[in-house]
Parts: sequence; C-alpha cells; structure tokens
Amino acid sequence: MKLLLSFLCALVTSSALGADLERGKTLYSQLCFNCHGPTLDGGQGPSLRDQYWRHGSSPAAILEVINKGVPGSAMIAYEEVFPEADRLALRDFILSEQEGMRETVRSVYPVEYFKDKRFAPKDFASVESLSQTPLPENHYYFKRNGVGVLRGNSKLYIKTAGEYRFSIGPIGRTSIFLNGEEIHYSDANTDKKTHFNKTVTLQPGVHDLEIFHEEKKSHSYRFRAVLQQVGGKSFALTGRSLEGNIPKFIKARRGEALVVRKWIKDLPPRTLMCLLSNRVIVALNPVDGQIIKAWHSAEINQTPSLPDRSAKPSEVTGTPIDQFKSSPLKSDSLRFLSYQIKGESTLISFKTQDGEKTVTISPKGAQSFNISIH
Amino acid sequence: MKYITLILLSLTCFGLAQIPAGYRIETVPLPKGAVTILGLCHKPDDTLAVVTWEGEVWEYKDKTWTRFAENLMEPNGIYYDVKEGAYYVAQKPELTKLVDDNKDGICDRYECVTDAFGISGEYHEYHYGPVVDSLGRKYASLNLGARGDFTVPDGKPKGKGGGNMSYNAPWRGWIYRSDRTGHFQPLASGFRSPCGIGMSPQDELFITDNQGDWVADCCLYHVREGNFYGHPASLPARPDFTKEKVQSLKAADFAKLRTPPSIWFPREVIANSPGSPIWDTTGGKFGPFKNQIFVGDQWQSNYFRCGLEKVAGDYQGWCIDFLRGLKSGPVKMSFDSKGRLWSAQVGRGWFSLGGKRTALQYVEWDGKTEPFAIKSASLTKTGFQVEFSQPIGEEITPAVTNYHYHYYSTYGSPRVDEKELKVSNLKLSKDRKTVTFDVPLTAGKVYAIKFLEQKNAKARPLDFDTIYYTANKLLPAKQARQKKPHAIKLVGSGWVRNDKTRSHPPVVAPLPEKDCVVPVPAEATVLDASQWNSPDWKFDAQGVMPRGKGSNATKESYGSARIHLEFRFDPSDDPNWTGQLYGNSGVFLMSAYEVQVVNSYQNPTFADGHCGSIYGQQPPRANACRKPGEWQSYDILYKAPDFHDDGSLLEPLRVTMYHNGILIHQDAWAYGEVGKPYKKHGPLPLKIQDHKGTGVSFRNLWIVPDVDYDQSLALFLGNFGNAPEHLVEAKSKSKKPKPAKITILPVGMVRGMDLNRDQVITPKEFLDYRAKQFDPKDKNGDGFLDAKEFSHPKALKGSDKNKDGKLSREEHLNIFRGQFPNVDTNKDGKITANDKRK
Repeated sequence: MKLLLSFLCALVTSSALGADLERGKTLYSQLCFNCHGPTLDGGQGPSLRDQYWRHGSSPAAILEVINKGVPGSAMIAYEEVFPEADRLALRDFILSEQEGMRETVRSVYPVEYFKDKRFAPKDFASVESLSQTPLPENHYYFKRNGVGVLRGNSKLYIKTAGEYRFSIGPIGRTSIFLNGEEIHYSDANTDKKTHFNKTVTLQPGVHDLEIFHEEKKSHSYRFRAVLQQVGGKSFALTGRSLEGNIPKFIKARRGEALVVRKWIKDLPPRTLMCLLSNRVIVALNPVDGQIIKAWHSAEINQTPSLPDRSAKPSEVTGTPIDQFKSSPLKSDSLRFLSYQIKGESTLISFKTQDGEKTVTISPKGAQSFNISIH
Repeated sequence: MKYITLILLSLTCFGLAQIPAGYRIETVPLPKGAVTILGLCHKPDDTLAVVTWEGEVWEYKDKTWTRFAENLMEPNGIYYDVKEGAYYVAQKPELTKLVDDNKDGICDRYECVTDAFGISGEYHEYHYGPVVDSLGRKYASLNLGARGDFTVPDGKPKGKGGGNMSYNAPWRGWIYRSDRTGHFQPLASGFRSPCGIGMSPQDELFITDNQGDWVADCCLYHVREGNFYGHPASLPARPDFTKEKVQSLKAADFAKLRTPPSIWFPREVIANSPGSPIWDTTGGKFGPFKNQIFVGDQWQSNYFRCGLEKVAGDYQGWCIDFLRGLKSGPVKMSFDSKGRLWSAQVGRGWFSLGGKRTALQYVEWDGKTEPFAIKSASLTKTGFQVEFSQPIGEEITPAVTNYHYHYYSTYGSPRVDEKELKVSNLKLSKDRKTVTFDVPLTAGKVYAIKFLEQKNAKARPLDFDTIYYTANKLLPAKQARQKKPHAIKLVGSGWVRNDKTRSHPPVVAPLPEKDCVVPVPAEATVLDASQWNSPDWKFDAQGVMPRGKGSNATKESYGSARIHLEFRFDPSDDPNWTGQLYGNSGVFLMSAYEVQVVNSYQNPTFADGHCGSIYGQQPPRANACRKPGEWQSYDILYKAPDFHDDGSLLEPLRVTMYHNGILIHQDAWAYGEVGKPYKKHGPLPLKIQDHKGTGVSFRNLWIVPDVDYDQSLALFLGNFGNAPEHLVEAKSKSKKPKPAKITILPVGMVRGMDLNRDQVITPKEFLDYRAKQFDPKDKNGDGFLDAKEFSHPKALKGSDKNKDGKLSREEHLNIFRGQFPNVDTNKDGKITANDKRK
C-alpha cells in the first residue's frame, strides 16, 4: 500500500504528465468522456471527480469497476476490451484528477477509554472499535448523536500546492493528524491557550488524514469541519448521509408521456410537469391553465433531498424553449379537473365557462411540442 | 467492560424490543428501488396498497408488488373507496382520486378532488389523509409551514421560544372535508403538524399532533367542527380574525379559545411524533383490546394503546405503551381481514429509534395467548379504576403523580408542577382483574399511574407498568341523563343536533347595505303577491310582507335554484322574547330544508339555530346579522337532492349562501329534512315558516329556477367580492414578482436587518440591527462596552469621544452610522440589490 502511495505521489507531483497518465487521458477522451463528461464531472454517468464514490474510491475499487463494470448500468466490463496496462493507465489518470478526501472510513470507539486523555493514534490501536464503516460519501456524519468517539481515516488528495488549514466548529473536542503529525487540537472543556491549529504547506499528492472527535449527546451531531486552502478552494469534511438516496432522474419513456409533480424551484407548487417521449418538458400551472416554461433534452431530478425531509427542491436539466403559446385556455373561471396519459400525449382537463375543455400536449419533432384544445 | 458498553449502547440507540405475549412482528420486503413508504390501506380482498415519499403507489398481492401509479408529490396517506373502486391520496398539492378505467392494474386518470387550500411551496406543508366517514366524505389535514413570515411569537424572540411554524397560505393548520371535485369545507383550526388522522367507527374524527411551538406535547384531539385546537398561526383563515388581530393577542387570549387534547402522549415515554390512530374493529382477532385505539410513533418505533370516555360532554382518556422494537417509525396503519395490524414505517428525514430508513411490518396475535397488561383506566369520583387483562397476584399500590403543561409559543413544555400523590383505599375486584383507588383529583392534569412490579397470578410481570390518564375534567356531581340520539346525525362534525355546547359562529361585520344590492336577473321569477298561496300573508304598498299565520308557500314548485330575499326583525326589548323567540321564521328550501331566520344580533342561541344556519344541522360559518329594524339579505344557491330509484339518497341537498354579503355556507350539506331523514321527492314549492316569536317581515324575493348548481357556483362565489381567500390568492400569486436580493451584505446580516423581507434596508433597519447587538456584547451589563467586550480597538478609540476607554450606546451606534454610506454605494439612502461592491 505504501509503495503504491509513493508511486502515485510521484505520478501526480511530476510537472508533466507521465507517459502512463498521458495514455490514460487519451483513452478517457476517446471513450469514457461520453458518459462521464470531458472534465470527469459526469453526464449520463456519475461524476468521477466529486466526493461520492458509490463503489469505493480506493485504487483497487476503481480498477475493479473498470475491469468488471457495473451490472444493470451502461458501465460495461473493460477487462476483455483493453489490455491491463491501459486499464491501469485509465485508473491512474482518474486518481490523478482527485481532490479532497477519499477512501474514507469511519470507526466508532467507546467513550470511556478516552476519558481525560488526549486523543493519540497509538491508544486506538489497543481498543476494539464498536464499528468500522467505509463512507462512500467521503465526508463524516452520524445519523444519531451520542454514539461514541469518532475516528476518521482517509486519504487526502491534494492537486494544488499551497498552504492549508482546517476550520473546525467549536463543538466537543477534536484532534487532527496529517501524515502522522498532530496539526489541530481543540477542546471546549480545556483552556483555549492549549489549543492549536497549524497552517501546513502541502505538496500535490496523497496524504494520510486522521481525525478524532467527540462531543456530548444532543439532538443532532454538530461536528463541522472544513479544509481550506489559503486563498483557494475549500473542502467539506463533514456532511450528510446519502444512503439510499442517490438522486435518480425521471427520464422520458419511449412511446409514453409522463406527468410529474415535484416541487421545482421558481415554479408554482401545483405545476404539472408534462414529460413527453421526445424529452420535452412542458410546465403547466393547473391553477390558471398557463404554460409557464418548457425545455427540450430535459429530465427531472427526483427528490434529491429526502434526508432533508424534502426541504430542497428538485431540479430540471435541459435547454429552455423560448417560444411557445403560453395561454392555450382563455377563461375567467377555471377549475382543474384531471390529467391522464394517452400514449405519447398528456390530456389535462378543466372546467371552464364554456364547459369542459381538454388540453392535449403532444411531442413534435425532436425538440418541440404541440397543443390542441377540445 | 467492553461487552457491557456494547449492550448499553445498543439499548440506548435502538431501544429494547418489547413484544407482549402472543404477538409477533413480521417484516414484508418492499419493492426494489428507493422506496420510502408513508401510507397504506387494504382493499376488501386484502390487496395492500402503499404510497411512497417518492410519489408512487404500489399494490401487494400474493407476495408480488406491482406499481399502480407514479410521479405524485409526496403522498401522505391512501384510502380505497370500495363504492367507487378508486384510491384517494393526499398528495402535497391536492387531494387526488386515482382511477383505473380499464382495470389493468395501472392508474389511468389522476382526478383532482380538491385543491382549494393554499400551498406556498415551503417543504413542511405536508398534507395527510384521507380518512372517510360513513357518508363517504373525505377528511384530510394541512400542516403549517416550518419557515415563513407569519409566526406567532407572542413577544418572545425567534430561536428563544418565539414560535417557529408559519402560516404561508390559506387553510394551513386546518382540517378539511371534501366529497367531490372542488368541494372544500374547512372544519377546524389550530393544528401544527397533524400527521395522524383517524375516523372512529362512530364517525368521529380524531387528529394526533406533534409537539412544538404552541403544542406542549404530542397529543390526540377529538375534532369538532368550528373549534380551535391551539396553534394560533392558523387563525387568519377564520372570518373573525386577521393576521394583525392574531399578532395583537396573547397566549392567555388563545387559551380561552382553544379546545384541549383528549389525551396527552408523554414525550420520550410514549411518543415523540405520533402517526394515525386506528380503532381495533377486528372483533377480537387482534387480541383482548377490542375497540381500543392503536397509534404508532414515528420516532419511538412503537405501537401504543389509547381509550376514551366522555366526561361532562367531552372525550378524555388514557394511553399506555403496547409494543416496541419495530424496524422504523410507523406513521399510518391498517388492519387486514385476518386482524393483523400493518404499518407503514419511515425513519427518513427525522430518523427513528428503529433505525431503518423505512419498513413495512405487521403485528399478528396468535389467537390464544393472553398477554398480561394494564387494559384500561377510567376516572371515578374519588380516583381511578384500572383494569388488567388477567387476574393479578398480590395487588400493589400504584405510585401516582400528576402534572400539567404550559401553553405558550415555546417549543414543547416540560411537565409542570409534577408531584407525587397519596394513594388510599385500594380495592381489588373479586375476579382480581380490576383495582380501584382514591387519589386527590384536580381537573386539567395528566395522571401517571405506575404499577411497579405488579405480577399476574402466575408471577409474570407487566410489559409496561405505567398508564397515563388525561383528566381535563372531573366527573360532575350529577351525570346528565343520556338523551336518545336524534334521527339526524351530524356525521363527522363531532356534535349532535341543537348541541348547547357547540362553538358559536364567529361574529363578523356585514357588508354595507349598498354593497349587498343584487340586480334582479332577467331569468328570475319575482316572488310578488301573485306567486304565493296563503291568503294570511299580505304584501303592503311598499312590497313588504310581514310574517303571517301558518306557513306560506309558492304556487310553483322548484328544483335547484338561486334565491334572493330580504328580511327585517321588529326591534324588541321584551326580556321574555329572546333566543329563538326573537323574530323567528325560516326559509324552507323545497318545503323541507330550513334556512333559519332569527335575530342573532346580540341575541345568543345555540349554534345550529343561528340566523343563516341550516337549522339543527349546520351553523353558518359566520354570524353576519344586522340590528333588528335594519333590512338584511340572503343570497342562496342550492342544489336539489338526488335519489336512487329505491328512494335512498344519492346526492344530498347542498347550499352555498351569503348573509348580508358574507359567505356563510360553501357547498354545505343538509343531513336530512329539518328534523327527519331524507325522503324521496321531486321539485317542491319554496316555503316561509310561521313561528312563535316577535315580528319578521320580508321583501324583494326572487328566484332563478332550474339553475345548474355546479356551473353557477364559481360565478356565484364571486358575487360580493369576498370570495374565499384561496380563490383570490391563487390567481394573484403566480404574477407577483420577487424583489431582487441584496448582495452587498452577507445573507445572514441581510436577514437580521431586513425584517420585513422587502430586500430594502433603510438606515433605521441598519442601525436597529446594530443597536440590538449592544446588550449581548455588554457581558457585565454596565451599559458600556469596554475593550474586552468590543474587540475592534481602532474603532473603539475613534468613536470614544469622551476618552473614558469604553463605548456608550450612542458611541457604539456612531461607529455604524459612519458605515451606512459605504454600503449604500449608489447613494440613494437605502441598501438594495442595486448596491454593488466596487
């Protein structure tokens, strides 16, 4: 492991890309970018640069996914497609693009062993942990507070050389060790003068990061930690669980329209999102029968925030359509009655002064829609 | 040691599974994919339907899941209407009926039943239900918002007990009833987060609410139409309140208005976030707790039991834990035909003791094993009577404490004045199953009755040894005689006919007379002297017809119609002619359904006998009566009842009407003819009643025959410009532009300064914010900030005019006076989005 690390450090620190990284980059831009985006930020497939690594962020785990693919997804097994050297080159290229914490593991220890004792890595070696959990989110969290002492281990990927410092919320007590050296110590119960928070100079590469934290039981876990590059980027080291909550997209279905009701920012909450088979979305407000907005090449992000009790809106991705007739129905008194799906069309019925009217929205071409009223 | 720690941790984290003897929990696997279930119901053939937070409806039959509907918005409850063969779900924007036209198991039509309540988009505006009464009408509850501008802090600062739930849109914090497209009848107000909703087998509606601001603890309410249950943020929807009026009142004022819960659920012990109550109607299939109420708690991951008794006219009762150790937190429950109690469980967002994100489980009784439990408790004149499910061994004197709660804007209340009480005179019944004892009784207290280490005859201990009784009232010295129930049942309203305790309609000012003038439509029949039958009622030269002898009916018969008429009470100060005797008459729609005519101006009478009531059935929403001697008007739109061929009722008579320009009924039901059940009939004459009482006169009567009620309703509601708030607001809402945001100051600071949220900060707002910071900084409270308390030495020195080394209030403000012009970059005297950093 150590060997691999120094190897990687060497790779990443070299000012020009090594031959293998060059090869990896070429392969990536020939194939992988189709799904994962030209800058690894994701597209149809997940981002390969952000913190969330569903199948693990270790070099071995990444290689495993390249080799075996992900069943049930568009990610196929490349074991039979590329020679091993190419697959390794791809993996190393992906690793060279990482920034922030990876391979994060959260361990929990019984509180009483560390009572009145400063946290020291050696003490943890002699105590059995209550649990050890790899966190694919690559930030620390607890669903409930009061579970024990946190020991967090991760690899810290640094891309830009510079001065870095941790900013830690003044809750409970915290010690941070970087490459074996204690660089942060704070404890709400001890004299502030004994606390320290060193600014460290970090070179590009992979560093060992170990965090110890304990706080008293309360309604929720309050530990917050951020790594800040002086005059540069910052990385959140704490956050929320994404467990069971990978944002899914509601996508158009072949030959069938959908009507989706989601809370979407800046749209009235009762809006009917008519998602047509040609990936056009028409947003119709059933309160006044007006079409508010439309997009093509669009999809809707499915309740991305359930752990937040749905406190955040869903989002539409797509290209806004500028020109459309906004008010198909003209009536002073309008009442929304129902909607139904008939093949590729959505039928939305209203009661108006002139009796019942149905607005039919159907796909037109690749990027447009038709409206008719009966 | 390590081992012990582990056990302790697992105890505190996950609670201890405690399952009464004879019961077992079974877990049912959920359909694949990210599914978080929020509600469930059974069809008569035991097909189970669940709704998910993600917006889907799934059916489970023969261990197979199929998706019935999708892409709803956070549906929070589901009901299957057997008659209509359709599901009803309360999703956030509306109550929706899901129709499978071609019976292929997939929903074809999503019908909006009602969306006549407001929704601002604030995430906490959940919508729970529906439950259904025996007439098939649907009831659902509307959560307040968790963030917003209209909170009721009652003078306390925000974050320090100053109320957090906000009224952002019409009817939030209310319970409503609906029975068809568009029909929306608000029933009761004052709810905070009414996640639990249940209909008793006797057609009585119950709600559980969640502890928070103005809600001292989790609790169960018996919902009675027109009552207010405690959270004042919901009051602006009432016709007698405005937002300004609500803000001007204090907790003591709201306390006079509110109805207390029937049962308090002690927090951390019984419940933290209770779900829907359900009645054990399995007839013994679920064990020895027949007809008791079961409730699940979302945090505690338990089921608990409740029982109610009527004391001096109101329900109160007890609760006790029943079973613990569910995988997640139950929110909605349903019995299947085998008497198994299923629950939809969720721990997402708020988490739960059970620990799982979601679960579907049922609890089953083995049909023979008798669990040993405290079965129920009831109040006696001198103490309590407690019943056990089995004969007990040696009887143990219970430890009894009592306490009450604060009613205030702070989040939750501790137990107040909790004290141990002396228990005496313990008696055990012959069958060793019932104990009675005396204890000092005080109304308005919760009693915790603990039978520590009570064993049954076989020395088995109790699973749960404490029962909690909410004694809002004590037994009256004389029990009122039970009246025979009236033939007209006011289903789901919580009241009986002519109930003297029913809350009176709120008094509101009528519109000025000139605003109540309605031109006679061309299609109207003017009901002049030629149109009436009785020779004993006569019009005078001015067209005024005083009440005559015997009732008067039109010569023509009418079906659905729109009516206008004006009436006037003769002033009287005779103390013998008050109440129902002050100017009594009545407008009998179709000769059978009475709209009451009686003076209600400073003349109290029972609620459903007020002027404008559907007599004995439905009080008006507001009392808009003018003084005797002044002319008043009724504008009535009604729909004739429809009957099946066999004479049974298909559709009731519905009334929407204005009294002096104020909406007093909106699509209200007649539960029958005045005083007797429906009987099939066709068009009938309009009748005006003769009744003992002081004089009444009529004028300007006209009728538009054969109206289409449903088509005319929207237009009719627009008549007087005071259409229900939601109709007005829904139209104007979508067009109001939001002000651009101030960017020159940090968001938190803008929030602190711009209290009216108009994204304009005036110099006053700017300085008020700074002035407020003085006291918190002044740690030693001497009225000055010294160098220790104010950590900007340069600014301190610069502003310290009298060189005493510290800042007075004025000196402190002067620092910031100088700062305003720097932030107001375009020098227009205010900070807005147009001010940008250079």
